Amino acid sequence: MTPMLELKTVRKEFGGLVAVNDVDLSVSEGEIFSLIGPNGAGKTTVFNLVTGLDVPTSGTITFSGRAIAGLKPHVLAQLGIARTFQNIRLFGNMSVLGNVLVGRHARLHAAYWKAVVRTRDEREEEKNAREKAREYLEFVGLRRRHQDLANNLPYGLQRRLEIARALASEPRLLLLDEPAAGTNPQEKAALAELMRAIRDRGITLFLIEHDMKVVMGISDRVAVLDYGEKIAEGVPEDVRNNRRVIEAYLGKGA
Amino acid sequence: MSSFIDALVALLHGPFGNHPFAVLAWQVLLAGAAYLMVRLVRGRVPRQATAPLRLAGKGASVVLRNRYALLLIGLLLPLVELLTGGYLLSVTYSIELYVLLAVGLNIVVGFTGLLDLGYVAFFAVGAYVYGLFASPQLYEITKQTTYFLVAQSALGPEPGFHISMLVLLPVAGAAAALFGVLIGIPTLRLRGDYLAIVTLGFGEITRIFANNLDQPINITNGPNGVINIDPITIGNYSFGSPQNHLGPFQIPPFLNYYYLVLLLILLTVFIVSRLEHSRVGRAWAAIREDETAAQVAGINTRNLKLLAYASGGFFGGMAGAIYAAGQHLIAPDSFQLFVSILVLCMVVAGGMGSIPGAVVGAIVIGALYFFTPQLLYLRILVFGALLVLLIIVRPQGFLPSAQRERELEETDEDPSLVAPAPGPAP
Amino acid sequence: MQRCLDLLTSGLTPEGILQQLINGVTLGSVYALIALGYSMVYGVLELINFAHGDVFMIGTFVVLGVTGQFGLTGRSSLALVIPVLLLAMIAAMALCAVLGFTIEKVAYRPLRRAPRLAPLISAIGVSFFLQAWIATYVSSRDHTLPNLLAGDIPLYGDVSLRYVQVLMLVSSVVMMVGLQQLVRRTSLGRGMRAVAQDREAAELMGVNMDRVISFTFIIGSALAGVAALLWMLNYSTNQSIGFIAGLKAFAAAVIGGIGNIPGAMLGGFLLGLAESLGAAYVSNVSCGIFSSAYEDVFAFAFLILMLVFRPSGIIRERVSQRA
Repeated sequence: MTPMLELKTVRKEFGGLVAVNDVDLSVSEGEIFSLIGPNGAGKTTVFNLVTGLDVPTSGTITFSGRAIAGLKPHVLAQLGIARTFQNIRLFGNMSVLGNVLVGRHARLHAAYWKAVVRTRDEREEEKNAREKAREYLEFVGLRRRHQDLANNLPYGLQRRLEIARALASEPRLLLLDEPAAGTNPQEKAALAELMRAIRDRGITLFLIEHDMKVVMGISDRVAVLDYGEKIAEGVPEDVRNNRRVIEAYLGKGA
Repeated sequence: MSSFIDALVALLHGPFGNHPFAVLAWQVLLAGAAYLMVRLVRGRVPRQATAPLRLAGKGASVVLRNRYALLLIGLLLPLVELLTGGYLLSVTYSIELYVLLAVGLNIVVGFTGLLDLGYVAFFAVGAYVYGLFASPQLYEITKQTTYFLVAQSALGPEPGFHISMLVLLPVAGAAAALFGVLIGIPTLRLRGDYLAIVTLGFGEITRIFANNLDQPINITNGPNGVINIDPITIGNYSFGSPQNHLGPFQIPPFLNYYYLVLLLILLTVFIVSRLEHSRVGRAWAAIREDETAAQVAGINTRNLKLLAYASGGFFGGMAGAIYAAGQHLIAPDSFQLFVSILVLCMVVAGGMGSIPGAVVGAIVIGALYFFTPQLLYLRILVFGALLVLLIIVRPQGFLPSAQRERELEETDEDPSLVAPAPGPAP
Repeated sequence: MQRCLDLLTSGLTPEGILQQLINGVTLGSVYALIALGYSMVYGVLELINFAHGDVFMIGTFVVLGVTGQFGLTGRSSLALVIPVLLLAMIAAMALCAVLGFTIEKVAYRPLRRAPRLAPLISAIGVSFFLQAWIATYVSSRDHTLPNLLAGDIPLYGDVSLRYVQVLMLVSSVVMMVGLQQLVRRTSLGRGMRAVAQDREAAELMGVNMDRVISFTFIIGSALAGVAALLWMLNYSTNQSIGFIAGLKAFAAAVIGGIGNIPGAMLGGFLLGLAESLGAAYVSNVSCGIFSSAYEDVFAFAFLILMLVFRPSGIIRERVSQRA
């Protein structure tokens, strides 16, 4: 099976600092793939490279066979890549529904002037977008709060809203950056459930997560980064018992 | 009116003589006393006593939020003013132009969150486009070229260009929009205060060029400005002529321009509010809230920022063209940084990102500015102080966009004012 | 083409250039002192204190008032001039400090949690108020001091360094070094640096925000008072100089990397040089197309290029873009 997302000897340097050191990764269609590693290992940088927020210093990134390194974030969104952020980045002064509608932007095509005239196809598209947005809110369990300001949602629901916004662009690959951070055990379980449901919709999941219970429970495959280098990759069971991984997490001699 | 001004001057000047320190001491005393009074009154007055005041405020807000009420006021105001002699008409007309500018700037600053302190440049571009192509100004330059012969044969016997407003209004808007894009491109990466300084610089550069492009070739006629600009004419009806009559009533030129601008405001508000509630407006708001997240959500932030500059510029340019026609003359001095600042104050004081806010902000700040005593610097003195006071009392603006209003209300100490929010499923 | 060459060769003499360099550096030293006020406030509050230039302007009028009170003329003896100038400087520093402190309390502090643009509007209001106040109750004309410290040191050909210019350079450098020490060594200076780094963390660590902010305004404004004295030794004042001088000083602060004290100094010098060389030679270099009427265009163009291409200043390169 050809991989959906493939990184080949990808390297990213900031000044003299090597954040990502010649990393190879491949995410297959339909799987849940997790990236783990200690803080500062370069995981979020990998996400930034895949979503176009950073450009790799060297190496290639392909998405469905197309080279994407250096493409702009909005182009990648149109190609079908969406993400959430580690420190939730919602549009705080917009409504919950508004946030999801912005997420839908990549799938709307009416010309700007049509918004002024309100042509029939523009109205149709907007109506459609609203319906879809409500659907995604329903899916993550936020339907009843669609009129609230995003800022006024409690933390756990903000995470869910961010996922709904990402889903609204109808991605084929969804990158979630520590979705379980700061949530309680029940919320974590519900989140794992949600992630499986997303996968069941045919969306490939690429995940950064610290919570081992979540990672080991739902991932098909796991890769481990340490100081920007990939030190292990495989099914959760193998990674869990990998010597280098244990060293990276607990220090040498553990 | 003049006795009021005298009283104000005397009050601010105080009884201790002319020395600046004597005046300062008095004014500090005065401010201290006023502050103490407010403190005393605030603690003592029961909530019920201020209820009528708050109710009046709410009522005003309702009226001002109602676009039909606003429109009715706009339609009838000049007629009322005519009954009282009509000398206020030119002021009302100026405020109207500011309304147009504020609605335009609101796209850039309020919707998209790009702090623009050089908005006057768009106004100037529009004014000069109309001024140059509807006056004898370009006669000297063009008469030596063959192009001139073509232009003259096409445009009639009068020297210079005299193109109709119907053509020049969209051209002026488009020129200003293009100018907005040109300013926008180098500033795409800048945020916040740095953007403010850069746009301020572009605004000043525009004015300096207008001031100096009388050499080596006389394009703008330098500091003297362009004169003899054509009034707007539709068919045989000249907007600038004092000879127009409606039955027995004489129609002053400002009245013509007033209703023209009112029409333009309606059109602008219509277009802008449609944009606001479309995917374009949502994308602008997303850029304002978090540019990176907006990019990742699929928004081409470069294009949408440029679109914001262009739209803001378009309406500013149209306002400029009308201004030039109404004044008959334009000079670089009319396009000082001060205009940009005034319009920005209107947008912020009205409530950023809200169209009714921009309209009401322009009316209130415009009225404050134009109706404070026209005594050389006293006007700026009072205006500056009022500006500080206003923004401290109501930092979110008079009519913040509905969502922000709701947000602010929810943190209000009185829970009974808040509608019960739909809670999560039990 | 020949005309252009002539313009170039006739205008650009070594003496002329050296003189302009000297003028530029002295002008820049004043910009640098004003720039510190912008830089410090921006570092702590992320606010462009639009009223800072006007505080400086008020300072120039205080200097005028004090020297006028003692009836200084160009022929007064140094024994009178020096104490009076010192007194004027102290008075300007004190008044500017009080003014800066008051402005922060009245116009900015109530808005600390307000939307981001609110303090900017408030600052603009204060700026209008101060200008109009001077114009209404003091004067709306241009004023200069008599030439108090006549005499110069001949350098090369016709070029000389005036005593006044030496004084300006020396005092501004002294002030800057003093400020640097203050920020480095005192606990309030530490507080300022902490707040500039991360406001919330600093507050959690027990830094008294209000005190640090007041202190920042007081120091910045007092330096504007010093700048006011130096300015008056060589240039004229009126109620509106604060705005344009302030803008240039802000540009200097940005060029040097905002929040960076030696940077502000370097930025001030660079801007002063650019301005005096530009004004003197624009016409020669551009083949007579641009007259010195375009002086401000070049100042703004320089500022714009700087902000667009080097927003973190010329000294320090920021490692990663702030998200």
